[in-house]
Amino acid sequence: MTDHLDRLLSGMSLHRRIAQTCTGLAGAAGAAVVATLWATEPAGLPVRTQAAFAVLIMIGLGWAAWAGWVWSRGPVFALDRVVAGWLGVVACSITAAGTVVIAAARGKIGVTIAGAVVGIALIACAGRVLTRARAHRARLLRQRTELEQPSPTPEEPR
Amino acid sequence: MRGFANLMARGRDCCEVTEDAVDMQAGTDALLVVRAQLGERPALHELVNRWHEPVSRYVRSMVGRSGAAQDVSQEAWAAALRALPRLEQPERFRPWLFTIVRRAVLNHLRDRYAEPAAAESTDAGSADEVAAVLDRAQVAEGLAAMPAAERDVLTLFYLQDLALEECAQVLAVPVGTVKSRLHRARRMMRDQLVRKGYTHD
Repeated sequence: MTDHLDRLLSGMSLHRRIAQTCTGLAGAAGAAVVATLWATEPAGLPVRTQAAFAVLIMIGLGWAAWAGWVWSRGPVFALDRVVAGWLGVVACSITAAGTVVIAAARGKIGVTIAGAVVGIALIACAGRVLTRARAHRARLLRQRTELEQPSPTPEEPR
Repeated sequence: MRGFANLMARGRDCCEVTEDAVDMQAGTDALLVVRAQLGERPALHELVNRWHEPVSRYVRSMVGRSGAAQDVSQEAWAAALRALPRLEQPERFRPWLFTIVRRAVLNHLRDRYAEPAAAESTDAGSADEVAAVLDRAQVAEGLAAMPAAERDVLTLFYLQDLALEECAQVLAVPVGTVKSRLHRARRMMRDQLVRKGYTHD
């Protein structure tokens, strides 16, 4: 096998996929939390602080976009989908809870409700992705079991 | 010197096999494909290892023994691995793979025909390398001088052992067209080899 193929295959390893997914989810979650902090500030923030928040949000979204781009370029195997699904559910849950807690602690009812609604919607989406990934994997596992069974030898005509 | 009929017969026979063996190979591929689709990396490596050489051989027969052949192979593998999780019929892996490889070859040939000067220099380099096995070298020599359509069908049928139906699927033409192309290609190959001094015996 050539070096290029070796590199191609090593780029598809599961731990790389998990690292890419975690990076993307962390970026998106970080951007959401910073946006919530910004939206729930009781007083107007100085311009430099606003600029810093904006940069942090852009960085977070940039990592999320990068992870999405990487995922779209490579093959998405069944196990990768399931792992990514679980990571998505966990990340959405933590982000939604964090957003709601921050908004509620600052007494912003509107932001709290909006955060809760968006959070529940995201968790539902992530849950659906996970369910479909598990069903797909279960179908492939059944197929593998069938293929692993030795095919019956045809009976000789009498 | 062996005759043309001998060459073609051996081309089909040397690495080939009974129908049972072909079925067994397809079964092994199907299992490897499903395991790879599940996310088992060793199965993915094994699948690539199994098909790396046949793919390279096909690409070399179509584009010549140049660095371009390696680029085309790599491009084809990248496309095939990206699409592998979406393959719905694992037992059809072989024609599916060669459809993708052929697409990469056609893209390359299209680009190469757009740059005739570059193409000539590439071909000149390839003539110096001689295949290790005499039969394959003789067939490859004949193939190199044939039009792309005939070279394609001969390579798939004789060198890659694809069945007529699989050739038809890869080439996206009816089985009847494959048969007529094969007939024409065999005649052209025979004429070429006879002109070069190979006998009919």
